[in-house]
Amino acid sequence: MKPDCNIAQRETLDALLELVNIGVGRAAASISELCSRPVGLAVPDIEFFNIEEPSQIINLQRGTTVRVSQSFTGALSGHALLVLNQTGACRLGELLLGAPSAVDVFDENEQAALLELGNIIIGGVVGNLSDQLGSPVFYELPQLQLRGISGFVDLISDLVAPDASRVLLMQASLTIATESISGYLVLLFTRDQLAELLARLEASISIP
Amino acid sequence: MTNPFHIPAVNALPCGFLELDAENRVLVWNQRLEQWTRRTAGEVLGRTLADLFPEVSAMEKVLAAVRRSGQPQVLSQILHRYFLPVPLPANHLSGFPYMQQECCVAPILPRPGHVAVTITDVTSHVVGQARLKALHRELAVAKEVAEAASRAKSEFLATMSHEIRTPMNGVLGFVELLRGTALDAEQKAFVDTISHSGEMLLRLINDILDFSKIESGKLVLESISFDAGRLARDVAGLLAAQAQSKGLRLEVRVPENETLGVSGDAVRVRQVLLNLAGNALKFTSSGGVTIDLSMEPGTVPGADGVAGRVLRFSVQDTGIGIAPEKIGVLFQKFSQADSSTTRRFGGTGLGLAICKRLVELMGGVIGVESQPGSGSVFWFTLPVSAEVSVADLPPGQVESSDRPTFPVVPAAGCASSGSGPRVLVADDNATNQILAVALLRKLGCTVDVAGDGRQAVEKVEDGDYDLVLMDCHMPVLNGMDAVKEIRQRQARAAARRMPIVALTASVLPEERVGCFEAGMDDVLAKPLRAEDLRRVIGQWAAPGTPRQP
Repeated sequence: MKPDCNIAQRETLDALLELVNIGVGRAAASISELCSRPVGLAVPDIEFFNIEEPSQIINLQRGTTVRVSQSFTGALSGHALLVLNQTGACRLGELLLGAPSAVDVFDENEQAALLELGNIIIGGVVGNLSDQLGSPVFYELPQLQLRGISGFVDLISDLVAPDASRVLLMQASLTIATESISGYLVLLFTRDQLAELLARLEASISIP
Repeated sequence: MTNPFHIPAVNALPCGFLELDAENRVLVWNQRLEQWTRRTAGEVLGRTLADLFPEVSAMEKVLAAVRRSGQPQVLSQILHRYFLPVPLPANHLSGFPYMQQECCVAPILPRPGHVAVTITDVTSHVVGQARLKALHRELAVAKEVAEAASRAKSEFLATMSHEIRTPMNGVLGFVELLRGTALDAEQKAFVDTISHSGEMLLRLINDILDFSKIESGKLVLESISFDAGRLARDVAGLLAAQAQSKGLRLEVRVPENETLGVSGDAVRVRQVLLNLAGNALKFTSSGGVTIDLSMEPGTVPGADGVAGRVLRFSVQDTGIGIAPEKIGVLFQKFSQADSSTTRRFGGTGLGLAICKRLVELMGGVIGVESQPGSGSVFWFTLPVSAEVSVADLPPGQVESSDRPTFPVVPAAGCASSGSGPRVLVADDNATNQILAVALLRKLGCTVDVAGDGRQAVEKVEDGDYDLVLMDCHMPVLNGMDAVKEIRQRQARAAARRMPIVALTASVLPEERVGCFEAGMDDVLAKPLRAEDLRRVIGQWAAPGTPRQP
């Protein structure tokens, strides 16, 4: 979280972080049920970065192998991404499927399981935000992209709106069977959706 | 009940499609599902999923979640098994009892509670990918095994080459000593033949050692500033006698007003040029050989597509030429254009393969243009990472990169009476001992011998030597440890630092570094040669050499 924000902004961001964690908590419960083992999911940190300053994007791109993306419209409009590095994605595949995975290839089963996992996590986060705003969100079908295997896929440039300037970046920590796997959740909003989301959150938590 | 949405578009889908209402009753059931489940739309429409397929009751949770969240959900086969059970024939190639499915459940927004389900048959896809993955694993293992075998082979070759160099030390050294004795013409011819054969064998061993070092990734390239023009002239100088003996013209053409001071591995560049020019002379019987140098536009090493300069060496001969179909195999190891070439001209077939690998290691390209009967042009380019003004290079820069020039004591400078420097030779091999003693005595030295490292330490303690020649690998106490002990004792006693030169048949850089770290002052490679010994004596034990405190 940005250390230089004022108290009101900090409270808003705290509220946003809490909402996100409630969402991923629900997602974790669904995943636990699916793979019949305890799954913990937490977002310990949340921050924004500017699209015009690409250093963070480049760092993310360098470490990323798997991207699950899902677009949404309605009360919120944008794209949600779950990004994982190769080691994390492989280990996750192994833990979900209970079988050893190759280090640099993902077969049909692993891809499908990773897609479903991303689908659930994104649904948990975006769904909880839309519930909070009290307005429905409509989703497109999720997609999975492998990077570094079938060619380099830009992390966000194919999704970001021309007039978008800020991106919400969440560090996600997924724990399965005592193993912790780190990844990132990225929310890309169209136009001024991010500012609007924060304003509505601020309004919802402000003391009359 | 009739199918209200039984329209051609839905039936034309290559996947199964069904629509469920809020109570999970089937409203649409396309023909693909009829084929898969052998249940017609007429049998299915209006009935609930639980009624039709009791074994898929778990799907009701998914359907409820989709209705609640409004989010489409993809269902993986591995986490959900299947949406609908579609049995496969018992003898199905996949071995699966049921069709592998990829499924998507999406809300139909205009109709509250209604969901659309698409089911794709991915059985063959899963099977194919599983096979590919298994193949991928097998290939990775096979590659690992092959690479390990290749490394082991290269290490074996390097070790064997090293072991062969040790007895070669004895053969060539004693031939040199024998040549200095009274011989009649026939005996001298025999000795010359032994010497020539020995030198050839040594070159072959050096080639194999070079090649195996490259293959096992142990070759380390240097980067020093050198004058490429001077390097080319030096190579020509080395080959001048050979050219003269065959009546061939040998010339070097270096462009005037062109900076040819560059940074790189001069030793390896010289090795490649020497090999190409030597080959050119070998395969040319009339005419001559020309070495050309030029700077040309190229790309900067490591910077994809960035314009820079390349240094191009070419060696043109008027020799026998090479047939086009033979050019392709020229740079492969153990290959010559014609197997009869080996018998006629000699050579191992490793030289060009080594050149190719060296040039590629330095980021360059090597090639040849040739016509049978019209001679050949062998060329190589090297990317120039830093150009250096020739005027900035110290004199003798090129020589210093290969074999350092030191003040040399002429043979006559050492009295043969043994009144010259006192030298201790520590070597466990009797042949090497005899050879070293003989060579040193010829240089006028007084020689003492130690058979192992322990004896060497004791002799150094008792004697006042001008120089110690220490073999690295000896029983009881090896050379490295012996030197460490000597240095410690000298430090404790505040005694003068006696020069110690390592004798080693190993040419690996790490062994050289190890020698200096142990406290050696210099390293002398076996086989021992009189000129190398003379150089070492001149540098470390010549009369007037200041003794280090």
